[in-house]
Amino acid sequence: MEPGTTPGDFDDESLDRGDPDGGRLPAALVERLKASDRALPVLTARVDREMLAAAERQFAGRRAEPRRLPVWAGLAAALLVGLFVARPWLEPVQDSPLDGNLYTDVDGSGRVDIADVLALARARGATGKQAADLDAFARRVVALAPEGSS
Amino acid sequence: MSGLRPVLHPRHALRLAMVLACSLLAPAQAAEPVRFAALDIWLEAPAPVAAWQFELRDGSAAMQVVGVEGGDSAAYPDAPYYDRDAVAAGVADRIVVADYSLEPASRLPRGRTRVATVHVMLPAAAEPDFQLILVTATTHDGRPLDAALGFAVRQGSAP
Repeated sequence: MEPGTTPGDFDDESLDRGDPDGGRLPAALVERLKASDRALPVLTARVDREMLAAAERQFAGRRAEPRRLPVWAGLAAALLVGLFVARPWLEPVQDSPLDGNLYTDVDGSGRVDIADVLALARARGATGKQAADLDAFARRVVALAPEGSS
Repeated sequence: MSGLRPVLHPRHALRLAMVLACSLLAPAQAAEPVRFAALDIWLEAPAPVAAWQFELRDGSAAMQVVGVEGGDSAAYPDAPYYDRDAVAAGVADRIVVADYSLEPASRLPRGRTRVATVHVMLPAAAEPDFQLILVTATTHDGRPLDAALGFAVRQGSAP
């Protein structure tokens, strides 16, 4: 093998030509492979025991002890859980249709009807009936709920 | 040829014929003669009407609403709101009809005007008890109106 030759120079084509040297590796490559073929380091049982003993000495003072949360942390956690559970009752009811609750008694007549759709449209300054949510509101007003469900 | 046998045994053929005969006769027996009618709904108000809503029922529970069309006023050019799904499904034994207009008061209807026509299907021999309820009628600024509601029935023909 010429100096500077890399293993990549020995492609499949050169190996398939059928010449007598085609099946043998170059000598330089063989020498490099032999040089890297060293015995693996072995950890003996003695070394293993010494490492274990050193680790035990190192961590002897770090015995696991159950941690106790302070009382205030427990109270705070209980308060958070309580607030989460009571959230539906603590949130203010959105009665204003402009705040997002659309199907409400806008005009304060005591019932939800087409006059509420008109009042909502007027409140928004609408000039036409193109608004999809107003259309949905009107359709809900005339929806035939099963008898006894309302 | 001993390998050939009748496909259907005569006894089974007789049963099949009876089932077919029953299935052909059953729809004819279930089909009840019906008739159609149109109810012109009118509203009479002393001031321009910007929104109205009524409910139509049949005390005899014989009515089935099959369609609703708009009225005469140009301020309400489209068909009014009603439960189209229930009508299309054939389950509208009552109907709530409503509409509103954002036109200026000068263009809103006042006095007596037809606001809608409700088309109903009835059993041919039924005597319906139509009940019309005015839910609301308001002015353009939302004031309730002291309005009157009525209807006139136009009898249709049997299909």
